[in-house]
Amino acid sequence: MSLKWIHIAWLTAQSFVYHYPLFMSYLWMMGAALFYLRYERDDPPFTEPRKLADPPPVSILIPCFNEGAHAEETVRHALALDYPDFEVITINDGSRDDTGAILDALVPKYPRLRVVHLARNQGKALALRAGALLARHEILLCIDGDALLDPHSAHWLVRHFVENPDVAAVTGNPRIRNRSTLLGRVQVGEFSSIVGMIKRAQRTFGALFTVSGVITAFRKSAVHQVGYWSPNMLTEDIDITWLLQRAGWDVRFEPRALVWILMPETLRGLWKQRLRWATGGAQVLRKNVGVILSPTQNHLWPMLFEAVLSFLWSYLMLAVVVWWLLGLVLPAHTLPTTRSPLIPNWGSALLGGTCLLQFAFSKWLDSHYDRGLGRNYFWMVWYPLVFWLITTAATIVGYPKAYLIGKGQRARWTSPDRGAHLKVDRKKAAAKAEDTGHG
Amino acid sequence: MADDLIINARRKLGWRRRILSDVTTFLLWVTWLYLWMPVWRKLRHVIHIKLRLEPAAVEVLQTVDPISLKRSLVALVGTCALLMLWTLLPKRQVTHAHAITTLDDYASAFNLPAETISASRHSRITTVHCDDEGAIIGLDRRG
Repeated sequence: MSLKWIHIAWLTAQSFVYHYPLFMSYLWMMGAALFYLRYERDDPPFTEPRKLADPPPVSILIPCFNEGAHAEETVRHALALDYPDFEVITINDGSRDDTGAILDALVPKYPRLRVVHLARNQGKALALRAGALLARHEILLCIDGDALLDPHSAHWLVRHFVENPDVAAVTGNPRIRNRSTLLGRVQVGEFSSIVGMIKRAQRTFGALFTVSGVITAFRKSAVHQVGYWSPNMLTEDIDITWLLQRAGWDVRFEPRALVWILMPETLRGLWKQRLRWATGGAQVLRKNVGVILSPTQNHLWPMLFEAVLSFLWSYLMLAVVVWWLLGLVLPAHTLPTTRSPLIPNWGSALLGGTCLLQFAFSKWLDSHYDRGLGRNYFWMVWYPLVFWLITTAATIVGYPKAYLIGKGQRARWTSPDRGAHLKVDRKKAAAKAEDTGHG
Repeated sequence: MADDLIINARRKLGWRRRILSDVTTFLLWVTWLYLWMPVWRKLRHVIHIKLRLEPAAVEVLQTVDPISLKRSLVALVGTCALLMLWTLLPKRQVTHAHAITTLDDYASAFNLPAETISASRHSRITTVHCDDEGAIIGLDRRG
């Protein structure tokens, strides 16, 4: 009898492994379609935002750690913002390279620019906290040290704060700049179909799992009320999103607020980044699992439920793979047979097909903001095969890692590689320096 | 503007690397299309026997996924509707959303003199000193 139940449970688990991503993919597409109809369709093009009658001033915060290669370009783009009243505050988080000197040299050239140096490296969360304290304005627009802000983004973000005093944060739409390698090109599609689509759907369903740390505008008073970004979280952006929503604030997504970012183009860099995201997500889940006992936090329950199911899915996927591998080495009929979840068959072709349909839909959605996405579609066939495995593996490793990291341990991290073009350029520069004797 | 920001240094990568990624991606597409062979065969079969469109579609979809299409749609639309209705439930609302934190509030929270914070907010270059716990303990203005 018990063997029968074990068998039924095993079949259910296998069915869940197959059907869960399929179901979620269609749910995200429906949610994103509803978002488009409700919030996106009737607005003017992103380059022509409706001007606000009385736009509140904005402080742009740019935390930088060892960003010597990008700091000036980032600052120049931030200063080119098409907005009536703003200041740019760069926060040099105790960089060991020439970031501090580069930023100081820019101050006399640009009246709107201010520089905050942290005497010692403290991590992004505390750098943002220092920037918020010294910001003159109530709206903080936070971007990363290598992110290039679109000139119209502030208008799109700020309108939400003007419309509704309950809005504490509005996150924008990161677009990937480096598209040289296979990994870079797959991530372009991923940011539309996974990041952009899920944020659209989550907004339709009432709450966001996370803002994008690379572009989010915050209401300073709200951030102050919830105690700022936590220095102990590997993903301070997920943490602040939950803190604000738990306090009853509204967090929104604005697809027209663009920022151009660099992503890793090596497997090592990608793994490092995904592991940090998974570990940070697990830390936040652990911290917030208690909302399930609070009826006033019911708006966060569906998101918590989805996070738990995703976690469960990753481990069941691992179990199915292990079971299949054992079945290959053990004598026949020792274990009930199971198909390989890794070697594609026509069932997984449907899953892959759904994934490609999701890409096609998201590319259409984001083609309003990022041209040439269609050309990128050729590369997306890799996503269901390789990226899913990387993400699943990162979740499997990240969750126990989150428990091993002490609760009070300070989270410090450096960005992974920023694309193959920099490596190529560095090689060329080194060769040139050797030729000219400046090596 | 966006076109200037996109970095495509593909030509700078070695030709071997470029060919490898192009060919493997193409082969992956071919493999993926090949996996759909049972569906194409069934489709050819239902066209051949001139079956009506609706039962033919059902027949093909059953090949792809044994769970009924009708049940899947009900589950999907039902979940979507339930999640949207869920947003209408009473939930925690933020209190004092209109209140703006004052300089004195910041001074009290950070345990720093209000004058120092105010002066640093008008300084072009500031150095922030923190203790081992990360708490801000001093602000030095340089310009």
